Amino acid sequence: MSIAATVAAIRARRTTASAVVEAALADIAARDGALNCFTAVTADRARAEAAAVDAAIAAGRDPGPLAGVPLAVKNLFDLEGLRTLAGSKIRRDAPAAAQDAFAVQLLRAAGAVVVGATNMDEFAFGFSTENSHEGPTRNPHDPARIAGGSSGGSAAAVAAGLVPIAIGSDTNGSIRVPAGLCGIWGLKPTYGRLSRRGAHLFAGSFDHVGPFARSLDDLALVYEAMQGEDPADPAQVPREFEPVSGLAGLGGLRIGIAAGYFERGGQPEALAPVALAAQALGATTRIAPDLVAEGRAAALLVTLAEGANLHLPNLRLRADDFDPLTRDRFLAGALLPAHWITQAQRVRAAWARAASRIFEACDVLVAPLLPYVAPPIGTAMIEVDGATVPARPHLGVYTQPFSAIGLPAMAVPLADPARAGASLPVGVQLVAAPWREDLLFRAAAALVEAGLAGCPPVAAQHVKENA
Amino acid sequence: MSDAEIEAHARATAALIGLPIAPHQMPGVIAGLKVAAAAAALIERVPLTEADEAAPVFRP
Repeated sequence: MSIAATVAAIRARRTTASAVVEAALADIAARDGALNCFTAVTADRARAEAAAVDAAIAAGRDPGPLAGVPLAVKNLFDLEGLRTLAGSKIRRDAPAAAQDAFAVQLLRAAGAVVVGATNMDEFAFGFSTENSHEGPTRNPHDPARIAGGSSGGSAAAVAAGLVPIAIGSDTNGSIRVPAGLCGIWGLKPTYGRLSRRGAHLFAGSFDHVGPFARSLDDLALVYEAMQGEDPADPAQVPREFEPVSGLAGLGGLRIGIAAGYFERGGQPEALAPVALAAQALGATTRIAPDLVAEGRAAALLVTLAEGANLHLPNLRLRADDFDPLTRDRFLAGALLPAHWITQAQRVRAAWARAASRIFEACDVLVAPLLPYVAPPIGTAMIEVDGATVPARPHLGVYTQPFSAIGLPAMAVPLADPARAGASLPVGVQLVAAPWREDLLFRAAAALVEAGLAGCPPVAAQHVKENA
Repeated sequence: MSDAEIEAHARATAALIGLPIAPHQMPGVIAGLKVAAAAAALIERVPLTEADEAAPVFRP
Protein backbone atom coordinates (compact mmCIF):
# COMPACT_ATOMS: atom_id res chain seq x y z
CA MET A 1 0.00 0.00 0.00
CA SER A 2 1.30 3.49 -0.82
CA ILE A 3 1.80 5.84 2.08
CA ALA A 4 -0.79 8.13 0.52
CA ALA A 5 -3.29 5.27 0.78
CA THR A 6 -2.25 4.53 4.36
CA VAL A 7 -2.61 8.19 5.31
CA ALA A 8 -5.98 8.40 3.55
CA ALA A 9 -7.22 5.34 5.44
CA ILE A 10 -6.08 6.81 8.76
CA ARG A 11 -7.62 10.20 7.99
CA ALA A 12 -10.89 8.57 6.96
CA ARG A 13 -10.79 6.52 10.19
CA ARG A 14 -10.93 3.23 8.30
CA THR A 15 -7.92 2.40 10.48
CA THR A 16 -5.87 4.24 13.07
CA ALA A 17 -2.27 5.34 13.27
CA SER A 18 -2.00 3.20 16.38
CA ALA A 19 -3.11 0.10 14.49
CA VAL A 20 -0.70 0.80 11.63
CA VAL A 21 2.19 1.34 14.02
CA GLU A 22 1.35 -1.73 16.14
CA ALA A 23 1.40 -3.82 12.98
CA ALA A 24 4.81 -2.40 12.03
CA LEU A 25 6.21 -3.03 15.52
CA ALA A 26 4.93 -6.62 15.45
CA ASP A 27 6.41 -7.15 12.00
CA ILE A 28 9.78 -5.78 13.11
CA ALA A 29 9.71 -8.01 16.20
CA ALA A 30 8.91 -11.04 14.06
CA ARG A 31 11.25 -10.53 11.14
CA ASP A 32 14.11 -8.19 11.98
CA GLY A 33 16.04 -10.85 13.85
CA ALA A 34 16.87 -12.41 10.48
CA LEU A 35 17.81 -9.11 8.80
CA ASN A 36 19.33 -6.95 11.57
CA CYS A 37 18.09 -3.65 10.15
CA PHE A 38 17.33 -2.08 13.54
CA THR A 39 19.74 -1.34 16.36
CA ALA A 40 16.96 0.12 18.49
CA VAL A 41 13.17 -0.15 18.27
CA THR A 42 11.46 2.89 19.77
CA ALA A 43 8.17 1.19 20.60
CA ASP A 44 7.11 3.48 23.46
CA ARG A 45 7.83 6.57 21.47
CA ALA A 46 6.09 5.15 18.40
CA ARG A 47 2.95 4.31 20.37
CA ALA A 48 2.83 7.80 21.87
CA GLU A 49 3.34 9.47 18.49
CA ALA A 50 0.70 7.30 16.84
CA ALA A 51 -1.76 8.08 19.65
CA ALA A 52 -1.07 11.78 19.11
CA VAL A 53 -1.88 11.43 15.41
CA ASP A 54 -5.13 9.64 16.23
CA ALA A 55 -5.96 12.31 18.80
CA ALA A 56 -5.35 15.05 16.25
CA ILE A 57 -7.75 13.39 13.82
CA ALA A 58 -10.36 12.92 16.53
CA ALA A 59 -10.02 16.61 17.41
CA GLY A 60 -10.47 17.63 13.78
CA ARG A 61 -6.88 18.88 13.39
CA ASP A 62 -4.77 18.19 10.27
CA PRO A 63 -2.44 15.31 11.20
CA GLY A 64 -0.07 16.03 8.30
CA PRO A 65 0.74 14.44 4.95
CA LEU A 66 2.58 11.51 6.58
CA ALA A 67 0.05 10.93 9.35
CA GLY A 68 0.72 7.62 11.05
CA VAL A 69 3.34 6.41 8.58
CA PRO A 70 6.06 4.32 10.29
CA LEU A 71 9.53 5.79 9.77
CA ALA A 72 12.96 4.20 10.32
CA VAL A 73 15.86 6.52 11.06
CA LYS A 74 19.54 5.78 10.44
CA ASN A 75 21.19 5.86 13.83
CA LEU A 76 23.28 8.79 12.66
CA PHE A 77 20.35 11.14 13.28
CA ASP A 78 19.63 12.19 16.83
CA LEU A 79 16.45 10.78 18.33
CA GLU A 80 15.53 12.39 21.63
CA GLY A 81 16.29 10.12 24.56
CA LEU A 82 18.35 7.63 22.52
CA ARG A 83 22.12 7.38 22.15
CA THR A 84 23.20 8.18 18.62
CA LEU A 85 25.75 5.43 18.17
CA ALA A 86 26.54 6.12 14.51
CA GLY A 87 27.36 2.44 14.31
CA SER A 88 30.12 2.73 16.89
CA LYS A 89 31.08 1.11 20.16
CA ILE A 90 32.76 4.34 21.22
CA ARG A 91 29.50 6.27 21.40
CA ARG A 92 27.91 3.71 23.72
CA ASP A 93 29.34 6.02 26.42
CA ALA A 94 27.73 9.12 24.91
CA PRO A 95 24.74 10.81 26.53
CA ALA A 96 21.33 10.30 24.99
CA ALA A 97 20.37 12.90 22.41
CA ALA A 98 18.59 15.92 23.89
CA GLN A 99 16.36 16.46 20.87
CA ASP A 100 15.49 15.01 17.50
CA ALA A 101 17.58 15.88 14.45
CA PHE A 102 16.05 18.64 12.33
CA ALA A 103 15.00 16.20 9.58
CA VAL A 104 13.25 14.03 12.15
CA GLN A 105 11.50 17.07 13.60
CA LEU A 106 10.14 17.92 10.15
CA LEU A 107 8.98 14.37 9.47
CA ARG A 108 7.36 14.21 12.89
CA ALA A 109 5.59 17.49 12.21
CA ALA A 110 4.26 15.89 9.01
CA GLY A 111 2.82 13.05 11.10
CA ALA A 112 5.41 10.31 10.57
CA VAL A 113 5.97 7.94 13.50
CA VAL A 114 9.51 6.94 14.47
CA VAL A 115 9.62 3.18 15.03
CA GLY A 116 13.36 2.72 15.38
CA ALA A 117 16.99 3.49 14.64
CA THR A 118 18.85 1.53 11.98
CA ASN A 119 22.20 -0.16 11.53
CA MET A 120 25.01 1.40 9.50
CA ASP A 121 28.72 1.28 8.79
CA GLU A 122 30.62 2.74 11.71
CA PHE A 123 30.60 6.54 11.50
CA ALA A 124 29.15 6.13 7.98
CA PHE A 125 32.58 5.09 6.66
CA GLY A 126 31.68 2.19 4.38
CA PHE A 127 29.35 0.90 1.68
CA SER A 128 28.36 -2.46 3.18
CA THR A 129 26.84 -2.23 6.71
CA GLU A 130 28.95 -5.16 7.83
CA ASN A 131 29.14 -3.55 11.25
CA SER A 132 31.51 -5.47 13.53
CA HIS A 133 29.80 -4.25 16.73
CA GLU A 134 26.18 -4.79 15.71
CA GLY A 135 26.58 -7.52 13.09
CA PRO A 136 25.85 -7.12 9.39
CA THR A 137 22.51 -6.00 8.01
CA ARG A 138 21.31 -8.66 5.59
CA ASN A 139 19.86 -8.03 2.17
CA PRO A 140 16.13 -8.92 2.13
CA HIS A 141 16.54 -10.32 -1.39
CA ASP A 142 19.21 -12.76 -0.18
CA PRO A 143 20.15 -12.72 3.51
CA ALA A 144 23.58 -14.15 2.73
CA ARG A 145 24.42 -10.89 0.95
CA ILE A 146 25.12 -7.35 2.09
CA ALA A 147 22.43 -4.68 2.11
CA GLY A 148 24.95 -2.03 1.12
CA GLY A 149 25.82 1.01 3.18
CA SER A 150 26.38 3.05 4.97
CA SER A 151 22.60 3.52 5.42
CA GLY A 152 22.08 -0.24 5.03
CA GLY A 153 19.66 -0.78 7.90
CA SER A 154 17.33 1.91 6.59
CA ALA A 155 17.40 0.57 3.03
CA ALA A 156 16.92 -3.06 4.03
CA ALA A 157 14.06 -2.18 6.40
CA VAL A 158 12.23 -0.46 3.55
CA ALA A 159 13.00 -3.22 1.03
CA ALA A 160 11.79 -5.90 3.45
CA GLY A 161 8.55 -4.01 4.04
CA LEU A 162 9.25 -3.53 7.75
CA VAL A 163 8.61 0.19 7.24
CA PRO A 164 7.39 2.08 4.17
CA ILE A 165 9.89 4.92 4.52
CA ALA A 166 13.28 5.64 6.08
CA ILE A 167 15.98 8.29 6.09
CA GLY A 168 19.72 8.04 5.69
CA SER A 169 22.79 10.04 4.85
CA ASP A 170 24.94 10.06 1.73
CA THR A 171 28.54 11.28 1.77
CA ASN A 172 29.91 9.23 -1.12
CA GLY A 173 26.91 7.08 -2.00
CA SER A 174 25.53 5.91 1.34
CA ILE A 175 21.89 6.40 0.31
CA ARG A 176 22.19 5.42 -3.35
CA VAL A 177 24.37 2.30 -2.88
CA PRO A 178 22.13 0.49 -0.36
CA ALA A 179 18.99 1.63 -2.22
CA GLY A 180 20.43 0.04 -5.37
CA LEU A 181 21.55 -3.19 -3.72
CA CYS A 182 18.17 -3.59 -1.97
CA GLY A 183 16.05 -2.59 -4.99
CA ILE A 184 14.32 0.50 -3.62
CA TRP A 185 14.19 4.23 -4.33
CA GLY A 186 16.69 6.61 -2.74
CA LEU A 187 17.27 10.33 -3.16
CA LYS A 188 20.40 12.34 -2.46
CA PRO A 189 19.32 15.94 -2.99
CA THR A 190 21.64 18.81 -3.89
CA TYR A 191 24.32 19.56 -1.29
CA GLY A 192 22.87 22.17 1.02
CA ARG A 193 19.23 21.46 0.09
CA LEU A 194 18.25 19.76 3.37
CA SER A 195 19.45 20.56 6.86
CA ARG A 196 21.82 18.04 8.41
CA ARG A 197 21.53 19.38 11.96
CA GLY A 198 21.48 16.54 14.43
CA ALA A 199 22.82 14.10 11.83
CA HIS A 200 26.36 13.36 12.94
CA LEU A 201 28.97 14.48 10.46
CA PHE A 202 31.36 12.19 8.62
CA ALA A 203 32.95 14.42 5.98
CA GLY A 204 31.07 17.70 6.20
CA SER A 205 32.09 18.83 2.70
CA PHE A 206 30.09 15.95 1.25
CA ASP A 207 27.46 15.06 3.85
CA HIS A 208 23.86 14.99 2.62
CA VAL A 209 20.65 13.56 4.08
CA GLY A 210 17.75 12.06 2.17
CA PRO A 211 14.89 9.56 1.99
CA PHE A 212 14.25 5.94 0.99
CA ALA A 213 10.90 4.58 -0.19
CA ARG A 214 9.29 1.72 -2.13
CA SER A 215 7.60 3.95 -4.69
CA LEU A 216 8.41 7.18 -6.45
CA ASP A 217 5.24 8.78 -5.09
CA ASP A 218 6.24 7.87 -1.53
CA LEU A 219 9.77 9.17 -2.11
CA ALA A 220 8.31 12.49 -3.26
CA LEU A 221 6.11 12.81 -0.17
CA VAL A 222 9.01 12.19 2.20
CA TYR A 223 11.36 14.54 0.35
CA GLU A 224 8.72 17.26 0.45
CA ALA A 225 8.29 16.80 4.19
CA MET A 226 12.07 17.06 4.70
CA GLN A 227 12.28 20.49 3.08
CA GLY A 228 12.56 23.26 5.62
CA GLU A 229 14.87 26.15 6.39
CA ASP A 230 17.27 25.69 9.26
CA PRO A 231 19.60 28.60 9.97
CA ALA A 232 21.61 26.34 12.27
CA ASP A 233 23.01 24.23 9.40
CA PRO A 234 25.91 26.24 7.98
CA ALA A 235 25.80 24.34 4.68
CA GLN A 236 22.11 24.75 3.98
CA VAL A 237 21.12 27.16 1.21
CA PRO A 238 17.71 28.75 1.78
CA ARG A 239 15.22 27.66 -0.87
CA GLU A 240 11.52 27.98 -1.34
CA PHE A 241 9.45 24.83 -0.91
CA GLU A 242 9.71 22.84 -4.14
CA PRO A 243 6.92 20.28 -4.63
CA VAL A 244 7.84 17.12 -6.53
CA SER A 245 4.73 14.99 -6.10
CA GLY A 246 2.91 14.08 -9.27
CA LEU A 247 5.52 15.52 -11.62
CA ALA A 248 5.26 13.69 -14.90
CA GLY A 249 5.97 14.05 -18.57
CA LEU A 250 9.36 14.39 -20.14
CA GLY A 251 8.02 17.39 -22.05
CA GLY A 252 11.16 18.11 -24.02
CA LEU A 253 13.64 17.11 -21.34
CA ARG A 254 16.98 16.26 -22.87
CA ILE A 255 18.32 12.98 -21.50
CA GLY A 256 22.03 12.17 -21.69
CA ILE A 257 23.71 8.78 -21.39
CA ALA A 258 26.80 8.70 -19.18
CA ALA A 259 29.73 7.38 -21.20
CA GLY A 260 33.50 7.09 -20.86
CA TYR A 261 34.33 6.50 -17.19
CA PHE A 262 30.80 5.23 -16.61
CA GLU A 263 31.15 2.39 -19.13
CA ARG A 264 34.07 0.83 -17.26
CA GLY A 265 34.57 -0.79 -13.89
CA GLY A 266 31.28 -2.63 -13.60
CA GLN A 267 29.87 -6.06 -14.37
CA PRO A 268 27.55 -6.29 -17.42
CA GLU A 269 24.35 -6.99 -15.49
CA ALA A 270 24.88 -3.88 -13.35
CA LEU A 271 25.62 -1.63 -16.34
CA ALA A 272 22.82 -2.99 -18.56
CA PRO A 273 20.07 -0.91 -16.85
CA VAL A 274 21.63 2.27 -18.27
CA ALA A 275 20.87 1.23 -21.85
CA LEU A 276 17.39 0.04 -20.86
CA ALA A 277 16.62 3.38 -19.19
CA ALA A 278 18.11 5.35 -22.08
CA GLN A 279 15.93 3.43 -24.51
CA ALA A 280 12.81 3.96 -22.40
CA LEU A 281 13.53 7.69 -22.29
CA GLY A 282 14.41 7.93 -25.96
CA ALA A 283 17.93 9.09 -25.17
CA THR A 284 20.70 8.83 -27.72
CA THR A 285 23.15 11.56 -26.64
CA ARG A 286 26.25 10.03 -25.09
CA ILE A 287 28.21 12.27 -22.76
CA ALA A 288 31.68 11.41 -21.50
CA PRO A 289 32.63 14.06 -18.93
CA ASP A 290 36.25 14.93 -18.18
CA LEU A 291 37.88 14.51 -14.77
CA VAL A 292 35.43 11.94 -13.32
CA ALA A 293 38.09 9.59 -11.97
CA GLU A 294 40.03 12.55 -10.67
CA GLY A 295 36.90 13.91 -8.98
CA ARG A 296 36.35 10.56 -7.29
CA ALA A 297 39.99 10.45 -6.16
CA ALA A 298 39.61 13.95 -4.72
CA ALA A 299 36.50 12.83 -2.83
CA LEU A 300 38.39 9.91 -1.34
CA LEU A 301 41.23 12.08 -0.07
CA VAL A 302 39.01 14.80 1.39
CA THR A 303 36.77 12.18 3.00
CA LEU A 304 39.77 10.47 4.61
CA ALA A 305 41.13 13.75 5.92
CA GLU A 306 37.85 15.17 7.20
CA GLY A 307 36.74 11.89 8.75
CA ALA A 308 40.08 11.36 10.48
CA ASN A 309 40.17 14.93 11.77
CA LEU A 310 36.65 14.56 13.18
CA HIS A 311 37.55 11.39 15.06
CA LEU A 312 41.14 12.22 16.00
CA PRO A 313 40.45 12.62 19.75
CA ASN A 314 39.17 9.04 19.93
CA LEU A 315 41.80 7.74 17.51
CA ARG A 316 44.43 9.09 19.91
CA LEU A 317 42.81 7.61 23.01
CA ARG A 318 41.10 4.38 21.96
CA ALA A 319 41.75 3.46 18.35
CA ASP A 320 41.13 -0.22 19.00
CA ASP A 321 37.55 0.53 19.98
CA PHE A 322 36.86 1.47 16.34
CA ASP A 323 35.44 -1.13 13.99
CA PRO A 324 38.33 -3.05 12.39
CA LEU A 325 36.75 -2.14 9.03
CA THR A 326 37.20 1.60 9.66
CA ARG A 327 40.07 1.94 12.16
CA ASP A 328 43.12 1.82 9.96
CA ARG A 329 41.53 3.92 7.24
CA PHE A 330 40.75 6.62 9.79
CA LEU A 331 44.31 6.40 11.16
CA ALA A 332 45.77 6.68 7.66
CA GLY A 333 43.49 9.63 6.95
CA ALA A 334 45.10 11.56 9.78
CA LEU A 335 48.52 11.24 8.15
CA LEU A 336 47.95 12.70 4.67
CA PRO A 337 50.21 15.49 3.40
CA ALA A 338 48.39 18.84 3.35
CA HIS A 339 49.32 19.22 -0.31
CA TRP A 340 47.14 16.24 -1.25
CA ILE A 341 44.09 17.77 0.42
CA THR A 342 44.53 21.20 -1.09
CA GLN A 343 45.15 19.68 -4.50
CA ALA A 344 42.05 17.53 -4.01
CA GLN A 345 39.90 20.57 -3.23
CA ARG A 346 41.18 22.39 -6.32
CA VAL A 347 40.62 19.33 -8.52
CA ARG A 348 37.16 19.02 -7.03
CA ALA A 349 36.41 22.55 -8.21
CA ALA A 350 37.77 21.69 -11.66
CA TRP A 351 35.60 18.55 -11.78
CA ALA A 352 32.56 20.64 -10.78
CA ARG A 353 33.25 22.94 -13.74
CA ALA A 354 33.64 19.96 -16.09
CA ALA A 355 30.41 18.47 -14.75
CA SER A 356 28.53 21.71 -15.33
CA ARG A 357 29.16 21.17 -19.05
CA ILE A 358 27.17 17.92 -18.86
CA PHE A 359 24.07 20.02 -18.32
CA GLU A 360 24.72 22.19 -21.35
CA ALA A 361 24.07 19.04 -23.41
CA CYS A 362 21.30 17.46 -21.36
CA ASP A 363 18.90 18.06 -18.47
CA VAL A 364 19.12 14.66 -16.83
CA LEU A 365 22.03 12.24 -17.06
CA VAL A 366 21.38 8.50 -16.91
CA ALA A 367 24.38 6.89 -15.22
CA PRO A 368 25.10 3.49 -13.74
CA LEU A 369 24.28 3.13 -10.07
CA LEU A 370 26.39 0.18 -8.97
CA PRO A 371 29.26 -1.87 -10.36
CA TYR A 372 27.71 -5.21 -9.34
CA VAL A 373 24.80 -6.77 -7.48
CA ALA A 374 25.04 -7.26 -3.72
CA PRO A 375 28.09 -9.40 -2.90
CA PRO A 376 27.96 -12.12 -0.24
CA ILE A 377 28.65 -10.84 3.28
CA GLY A 378 32.41 -10.92 3.93
CA THR A 379 33.47 -10.38 0.32
CA ALA A 380 36.75 -8.45 0.36
CA MET A 381 37.79 -8.63 -3.30
CA ILE A 382 35.77 -8.91 -6.50
CA GLU A 383 36.52 -9.17 -10.21
CA VAL A 384 35.50 -6.44 -12.66
CA ASP A 385 36.84 -5.85 -16.15
CA GLY A 386 39.35 -8.66 -15.64
CA ALA A 387 40.88 -6.93 -12.61
CA THR A 388 40.47 -7.80 -8.95
CA VAL A 389 39.39 -4.79 -6.89
CA PRO A 390 38.46 -4.22 -3.23
CA ALA A 391 34.75 -5.07 -3.21
CA ARG A 392 33.58 -2.61 -0.54
CA PRO A 393 35.09 0.74 -1.63
CA HIS A 394 34.49 -0.03 -5.31
CA LEU A 395 30.72 -0.04 -4.65
CA GLY A 396 30.92 3.77 -4.76
CA VAL A 397 32.64 4.01 -8.14
CA TYR A 398 29.62 5.61 -9.84
CA THR A 399 28.03 7.48 -6.92
CA GLN A 400 31.10 9.13 -5.39
CA PRO A 401 31.87 11.50 -8.28
CA PHE A 402 28.44 13.16 -8.02
CA SER A 403 28.25 13.58 -4.24
CA ALA A 404 31.74 15.09 -4.39
CA ILE A 405 30.27 18.08 -6.22
CA GLY A 406 26.86 18.03 -4.61
CA LEU A 407 24.74 17.19 -7.66
CA PRO A 408 21.25 15.83 -6.95
CA ALA A 409 21.04 12.14 -7.77
CA MET A 410 18.39 9.46 -7.49
CA ALA A 411 18.69 5.70 -7.19
CA VAL A 412 16.05 4.15 -9.45
CA PRO A 413 15.37 0.41 -9.04
CA LEU A 414 14.67 -1.83 -12.02
CA ALA A 415 11.28 -3.48 -11.51
CA ASP A 416 12.47 -6.69 -13.14
CA PRO A 417 16.21 -7.30 -12.70
CA ALA A 418 15.96 -10.19 -15.20
CA ARG A 419 15.64 -7.58 -17.96
CA ALA A 420 19.27 -6.71 -17.20
CA GLY A 421 20.21 -10.37 -16.91
CA ALA A 422 20.39 -10.11 -13.11
CA SER A 423 18.76 -12.22 -10.43
CA LEU A 424 19.27 -9.61 -7.69
CA PRO A 425 18.31 -5.92 -7.61
CA VAL A 426 19.95 -3.54 -10.07
CA GLY A 427 19.14 0.03 -10.98
CA VAL A 428 20.23 3.25 -12.59
CA GLN A 429 21.27 6.62 -11.25
CA LEU A 430 19.64 9.80 -12.50
CA VAL A 431 21.68 12.98 -12.07
CA ALA A 432 20.71 16.61 -12.66
CA ALA A 433 22.16 20.09 -12.30
CA PRO A 434 22.17 21.65 -8.82
CA TRP A 435 18.70 22.30 -7.37
CA ARG A 436 16.93 20.38 -10.14
CA GLU A 437 15.50 17.55 -8.07
CA ASP A 438 12.27 18.20 -9.97
CA LEU A 439 13.88 16.95 -13.18
CA LEU A 440 14.94 13.74 -11.47
CA PHE A 441 11.34 13.10 -10.42
CA ARG A 442 10.08 13.82 -13.95
CA ALA A 443 12.53 11.46 -15.61
CA ALA A 444 11.91 8.81 -12.95
CA ALA A 445 8.16 9.09 -13.49
CA ALA A 446 8.71 8.39 -17.18
CA LEU A 447 10.65 5.25 -16.25
CA VAL A 448 7.79 4.13 -14.01
CA GLU A 449 5.32 4.90 -16.78
CA ALA A 450 7.39 2.80 -19.19
CA GLY A 451 7.20 -0.13 -16.78
CA LEU A 452 10.96 -0.19 -16.27
CA ALA A 453 11.31 1.32 -12.79
CA GLY A 454 9.83 -0.07 -9.61
CA CYS A 455 10.79 -2.17 -6.61
CA PRO A 456 11.30 -5.85 -7.39
CA PRO A 457 9.37 -8.07 -4.98
CA VAL A 458 11.30 -9.73 -2.19
CA ALA A 459 11.20 -13.50 -2.61
CA ALA A 460 8.57 -15.09 -0.39
CA GLN A 461 11.00 -17.34 1.47
CA HIS A 462 12.74 -14.27 2.85
CA VAL A 463 9.50 -12.56 3.90
CA LYS A 464 8.31 -15.32 6.20
CA GLU A 465 8.51 -14.87 9.91
CA ASN A 466 11.46 -16.19 11.85
CA ALA A 467 11.15 -19.84 12.68
CA MET B 1 57.40 4.32 -2.32
CA SER B 2 58.31 1.19 -0.43
CA ASP B 3 56.33 -0.03 2.56
CA ALA B 4 59.27 0.93 4.75
CA GLU B 5 59.25 4.50 3.40
CA ILE B 6 55.49 4.79 3.91
CA GLU B 7 55.85 3.44 7.43
CA ALA B 8 58.58 6.01 8.14
CA HIS B 9 56.24 8.79 6.95
CA ALA B 10 53.41 7.39 9.07
CA ARG B 11 55.59 7.22 12.19
CA ALA B 12 56.96 10.72 11.75
CA THR B 13 53.61 12.34 10.96
CA ALA B 14 51.82 10.45 13.73
CA ALA B 15 54.42 11.68 16.22
CA LEU B 16 53.98 15.24 14.93
CA ILE B 17 50.22 15.17 15.62
CA GLY B 18 50.39 13.08 18.78
CA LEU B 19 48.69 10.00 17.37
CA PRO B 20 49.91 6.67 18.74
CA ILE B 21 49.97 3.84 16.20
CA ALA B 22 50.31 0.33 17.58
CA PRO B 23 52.29 -2.30 15.69
CA HIS B 24 49.15 -4.31 14.86
CA GLN B 25 47.60 -1.21 13.29
CA MET B 26 50.56 -0.38 11.05
CA PRO B 27 49.88 -2.84 8.17
CA GLY B 28 46.37 -1.39 7.74
CA VAL B 29 47.71 2.15 7.99
CA ILE B 30 50.26 1.43 5.28
CA ALA B 31 47.56 -0.12 3.09
CA GLY B 32 45.37 2.94 3.64
CA LEU B 33 48.18 5.32 2.77
CA LYS B 34 48.88 3.36 -0.43
CA VAL B 35 45.25 3.80 -1.51
CA ALA B 36 45.49 7.51 -0.70
CA ALA B 37 48.79 7.81 -2.58
CA ALA B 38 47.24 6.23 -5.67
CA ALA B 39 44.38 8.75 -5.51
CA ALA B 40 46.88 11.57 -4.99
CA ALA B 41 48.87 10.45 -8.03
CA LEU B 42 45.69 10.67 -10.11
CA ILE B 43 44.85 14.23 -9.06
CA GLU B 44 48.48 15.30 -9.34
CA ARG B 45 48.20 14.88 -13.11
CA VAL B 46 45.34 17.37 -13.46
CA PRO B 47 46.74 20.48 -15.15
CA LEU B 48 45.73 23.23 -12.73
CA THR B 49 46.64 26.88 -13.20
CA GLU B 50 47.33 29.49 -10.55
CA ALA B 51 43.76 30.66 -11.09
CA ASP B 52 42.35 27.28 -10.06
CA GLU B 53 41.30 27.78 -6.48
CA ALA B 54 39.48 25.58 -4.07
CA ALA B 55 36.09 27.22 -3.62
CA PRO B 56 36.34 28.77 -0.15
CA VAL B 57 32.62 28.19 0.31
CA PHE B 58 31.43 25.18 -1.62
CA ARG B 59 28.36 25.79 -3.73
CA PRO B 60 27.21 22.98 -5.99
